[in-house]
Amino acid sequence: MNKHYEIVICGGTGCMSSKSTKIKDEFDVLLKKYELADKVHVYLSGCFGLCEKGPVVIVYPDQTFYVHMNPSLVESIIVNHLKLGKIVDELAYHEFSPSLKQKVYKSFQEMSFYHSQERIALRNCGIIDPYNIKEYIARDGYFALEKALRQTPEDIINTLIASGLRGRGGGGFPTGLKWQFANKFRGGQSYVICNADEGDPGAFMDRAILEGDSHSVIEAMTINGYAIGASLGYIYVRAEYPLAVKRLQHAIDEAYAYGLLGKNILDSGFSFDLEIRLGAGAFVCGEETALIASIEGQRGMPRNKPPFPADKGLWGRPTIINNVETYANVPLIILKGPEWFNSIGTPKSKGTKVFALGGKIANTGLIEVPMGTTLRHVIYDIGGGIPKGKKFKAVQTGGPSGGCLVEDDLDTPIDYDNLIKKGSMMGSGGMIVMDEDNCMVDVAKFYMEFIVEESCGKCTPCREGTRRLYELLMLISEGKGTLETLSELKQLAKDVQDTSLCGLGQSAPNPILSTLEKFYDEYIEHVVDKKCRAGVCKALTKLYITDKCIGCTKCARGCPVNCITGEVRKLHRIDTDKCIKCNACLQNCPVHAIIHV
Amino acid sequence: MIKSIDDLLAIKNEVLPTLHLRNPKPEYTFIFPYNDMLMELGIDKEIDYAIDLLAKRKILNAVVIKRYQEEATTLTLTLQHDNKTVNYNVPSITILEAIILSHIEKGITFDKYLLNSEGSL
Repeated sequence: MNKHYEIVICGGTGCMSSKSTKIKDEFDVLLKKYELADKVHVYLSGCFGLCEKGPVVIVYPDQTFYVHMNPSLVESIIVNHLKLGKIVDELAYHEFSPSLKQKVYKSFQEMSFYHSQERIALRNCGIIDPYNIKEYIARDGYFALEKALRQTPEDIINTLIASGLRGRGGGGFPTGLKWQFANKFRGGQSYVICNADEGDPGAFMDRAILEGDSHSVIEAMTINGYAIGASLGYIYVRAEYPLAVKRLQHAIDEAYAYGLLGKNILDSGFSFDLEIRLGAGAFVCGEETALIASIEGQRGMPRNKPPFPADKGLWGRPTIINNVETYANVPLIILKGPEWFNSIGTPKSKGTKVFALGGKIANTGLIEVPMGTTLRHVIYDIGGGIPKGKKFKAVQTGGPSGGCLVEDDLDTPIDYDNLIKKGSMMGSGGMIVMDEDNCMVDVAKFYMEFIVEESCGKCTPCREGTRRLYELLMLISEGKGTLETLSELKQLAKDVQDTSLCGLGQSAPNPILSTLEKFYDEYIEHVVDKKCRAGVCKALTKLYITDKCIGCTKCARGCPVNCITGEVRKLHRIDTDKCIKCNACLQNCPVHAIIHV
Repeated sequence: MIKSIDDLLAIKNEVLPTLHLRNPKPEYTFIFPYNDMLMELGIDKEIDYAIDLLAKRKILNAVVIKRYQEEATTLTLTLQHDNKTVNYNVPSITILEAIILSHIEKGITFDKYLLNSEGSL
């Protein structure tokens, strides 16, 4: 029987951790009970992107986007929507309409979150069944490989060069030039590697692509192998991504079964094998030479360049390393041509970029927008702005290697060069939004603590320098810093930047330098006034109840150390000696009477 | 085992009919009003027929939706295409087929059973 409905349940890691598998099981059971199983197809897809609203279920062809689902809500959708054509309004996505001044129902196609996105790398995520290679093929999958195998390697490389595709892992090196470089060393064994060692805090775009559309990476790597004469590829993926690894392995097995990997692919005479290598989660293994060392079975540590991997990489042989998102773009570029890709983006940054929106933003999740889109559009129109009416303060791009952008930068078109000009970088695409409640010293401290943990220890500036930087930040946040501490912090940050061995060490002080440049007044407040305006640095803040207090007692009842006293309907007081500054009272107060002083 | 572009195309053509329901921008949307009275009048048969007709004719740019309408008392059909909306009376399956094919294959309205329309096709 022909299907009346397709029910797509988000099967990305985020929604899976919120029981989306059980939602699918419930649909399977209840569709049989209501005799609809032959009219409805239910499956788990990759990530839809709007993680904030998860677990998410879409009912096609109606395009109804059901949010915050759980198994107990499934029956309502079956009884009302599927049987009677009644959209379950209380479960469906609604959006505020400025003209109507109220929230109104929006179908998937009408949602602001998706409306201005352009999905190339994420084209199949949330649409196809990641366990079904046929669905990938039905969306033109492996047609690019078929086309590429009829071309010369030089044609493929020239196509990539003309497309303007740059590496999406952080550096932004032109992908076609990298492939061309390796092709010059053609002859003998060479390798292609996919860098899926995604380690930036808050970034999960590569994981989403592998979970939702592994075949796009497999297809691209096979094309890459043909273009540089490599017969073997590795996907280096962190073991903390078990779902991505499982789906990737399934996709590799399917590709072998269909003859799209292995010997004599598509009767072309070209053979290519692909294997997964699991990383143990070291951030430094995202650096390409450390990654190569890890695959070789050595400790994951970077080495000096040159020689570059395209010349001497894995086991001393020419090796091309691209990240997941970069590869996910390749099949469409081959299929649609370089002019198509080149027409999207800015003069020096072509195509789209996937960003992981996190922090103080309404719509946390994954988005893909054309290069050149402004931060304001990303944060306010797609991201839904800052929750709870708070004021935007900064956005950290580029993860621990990047920097922060401020209010004045909101109208800057996002591309590789503009972000560097503004003191940050594209990085892999993590975008952490901060509001007035974030302390910028604390932000720098957070990233430095991460780097201290993740430094491989090979070179002294990074191993020792980042630890000293962290200690200086601790002094400042504990109220023990002076103006000399700030000078020392700045100088040491520059020294680490100038003398570290690899890119990670060289970029490690960026969050410090960036916050020093853009939020110097906050640092001064910490060391001179001994004050943290955001109330984050506990040693520098006290909580105080103002006259706005209505004596509702909510603060006292919620205080874990019973340090708030006061009678009903009378002003309350905090015993600051007993207060542990957990901010529970601040969050409980209905009239915002409690402030940091 | 896939050996050629023909093998890829064969798989694509096999799977596309199941994927077309997930198209976020279908060219034609046929909306049937739905309620208990219309069920008695045979609306389910019309919906089934419309879906089967599209599948049989391999029409992949159109979808069929049922939408609850408490007040509806007659069998009707709303067609949405290019931001235009056309409403029909659909007294029988034969008429339903004629309406659908008139729009999709000829690109014209089926005047005889036209109730009203907004915009022109």
